Amino acid sequence: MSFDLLVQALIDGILIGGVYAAIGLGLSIAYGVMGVVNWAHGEVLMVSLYISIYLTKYAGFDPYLTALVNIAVMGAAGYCLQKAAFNKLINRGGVAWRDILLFTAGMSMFLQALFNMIFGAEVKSVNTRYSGMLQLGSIMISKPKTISFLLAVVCCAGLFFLIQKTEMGRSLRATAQDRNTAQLMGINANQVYCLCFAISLAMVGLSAALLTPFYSVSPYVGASFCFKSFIIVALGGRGNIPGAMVAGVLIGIIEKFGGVLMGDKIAQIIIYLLFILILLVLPNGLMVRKKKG
Amino acid sequence: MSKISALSKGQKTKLIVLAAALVLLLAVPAVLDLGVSTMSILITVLLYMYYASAWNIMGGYTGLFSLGSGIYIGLGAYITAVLYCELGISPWAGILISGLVTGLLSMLIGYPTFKLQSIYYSFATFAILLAMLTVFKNFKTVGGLKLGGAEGYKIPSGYSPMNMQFTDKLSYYYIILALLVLVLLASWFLSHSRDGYYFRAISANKDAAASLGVNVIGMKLRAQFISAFFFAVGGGFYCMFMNYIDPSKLFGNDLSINIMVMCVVGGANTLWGPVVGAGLMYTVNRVVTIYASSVSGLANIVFGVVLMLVVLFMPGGLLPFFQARLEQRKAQKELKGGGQG
Repeated sequence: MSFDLLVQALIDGILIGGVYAAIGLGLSIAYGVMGVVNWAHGEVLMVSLYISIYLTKYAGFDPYLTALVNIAVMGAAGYCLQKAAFNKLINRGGVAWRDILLFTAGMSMFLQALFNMIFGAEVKSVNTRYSGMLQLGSIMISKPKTISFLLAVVCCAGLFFLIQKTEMGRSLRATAQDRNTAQLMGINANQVYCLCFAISLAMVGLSAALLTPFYSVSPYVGASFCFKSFIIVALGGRGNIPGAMVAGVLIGIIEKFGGVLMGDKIAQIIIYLLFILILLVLPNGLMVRKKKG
Repeated sequence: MSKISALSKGQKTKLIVLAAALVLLLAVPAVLDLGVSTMSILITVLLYMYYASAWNIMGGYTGLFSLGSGIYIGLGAYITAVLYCELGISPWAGILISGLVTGLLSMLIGYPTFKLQSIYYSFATFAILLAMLTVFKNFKTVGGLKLGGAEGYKIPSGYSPMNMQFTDKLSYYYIILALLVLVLLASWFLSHSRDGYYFRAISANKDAAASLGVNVIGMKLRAQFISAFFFAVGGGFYCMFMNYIDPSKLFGNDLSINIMVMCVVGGANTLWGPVVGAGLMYTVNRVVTIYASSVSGLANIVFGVVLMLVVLFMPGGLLPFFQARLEQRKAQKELKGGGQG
């Protein structure tokens, strides 16, 4: 095993990790603000991937431009879902995360079976003009992965700005901290939740467009992304955007690096064990600041 | 006085109905020849009812929302099978041993994870399940034992009642029926015992329960042990019934999620909810599969939609929902009758 191979794996891991981060961020924001987890997160990604791949293949879209369509469709879907169902589940006073988990588990089964019925189980992908490699010495870097990584970083940074600096972001953060007090300050918490879930799904739609040039889709592709997103939430801390970025890249590196060193299967097991370990040792994630004094 | 006699009268009818149902369940397959495929379906329904009831003890009563039932089912199956094939220990003893061993292992899993927030407990159990799946699917030998990896573990078949090997389905039917009765009896005794009240107190409010002197971790360990024990026994039974273990089925996420869903749809935290939920969901699945076999995957679509509708409109599950409706109607009738009188 040569040194080059390891460097190659490291770069591959970082590049794909950036996209993982963008996917996980959607889940992290929703969990951070509302304390609920969308079990169908991966299936939303799957649906968006189908939209992106079909638009690129049959409507001549640029794969990255399909992001705009996805953001609009998934954002609207998220807003409506939250308004029609999730707010009801959250406000009725039961154990909200449990109800949402069950509801979205149903959604995930439904979407998987529906897309299997419509598109068949076979894997679909699309060739784009972005495919190709950059060569640095003996190391090959995939062009589309690099573009996707850069776009993912830009989008995550943009979301960070949105959350930290705008009025909407402030109301999101206020509701996340204390829903009742935020409502007393004149924030419409239901509205904020709708926006929050719209952002969550829009991020997933965007990430699907980033995956399109080098990834293939089948109705069952969602599960692995969904679980990676859970890990990103646990590692990065709920609602923590920089944390999610670090966690995403870390998972990418473990996956590729571990894959080269010990085989994919062991790398998978390491990721699962790391997840449990992090939960036990650092329940607030990697990026938690030590309290002063 | 009249209240007590009325109550015992209600309980008497309940007992009579139960006894009649049990006699029917015992007699019908013995008297009528239902055929191999019908018997297989019946065994599967009873097995799901059994699993859902086992989940109910930790997931329903105690609020340990586990997504990793498959961990214990799979372990139970492998332990029973290995004890039988490698050491020649009869599965009748094997399922008990596997139940106890898996129960103890579940406490090892539980002790650290119970400290987590409840949502992270669910994900931790799910992560362990996925790790188990990866291990049992990809490694042909685990700890020196040849487990076959993705090909699964085959158990030699043949007629040998001492080793839980029968040539007819009826015997297996009676075994799983007995197991179901056992888990229901255990649930009933638990829910009427001090431990059962502790379980529900923990589920309702962990901190309040702890402040009243309930040993929260100890009680959770107890609930998890009981559930894991029943899961493992079920897994052991299943592998002897199939003569085969498919790791991607037992450790796959579908089985664990379905068990949880069946229990919740029927009504977690009630004795009969899991039975109703498992029966209904499995029946819907079968009916759709039979009558719309040309549309592949329709069963899962229906399954998903039913789950979403129940969560949305019947919080608590089907059984509590209809019970509440019935009581409401009764109360309205009494109110009307009282007004006239």
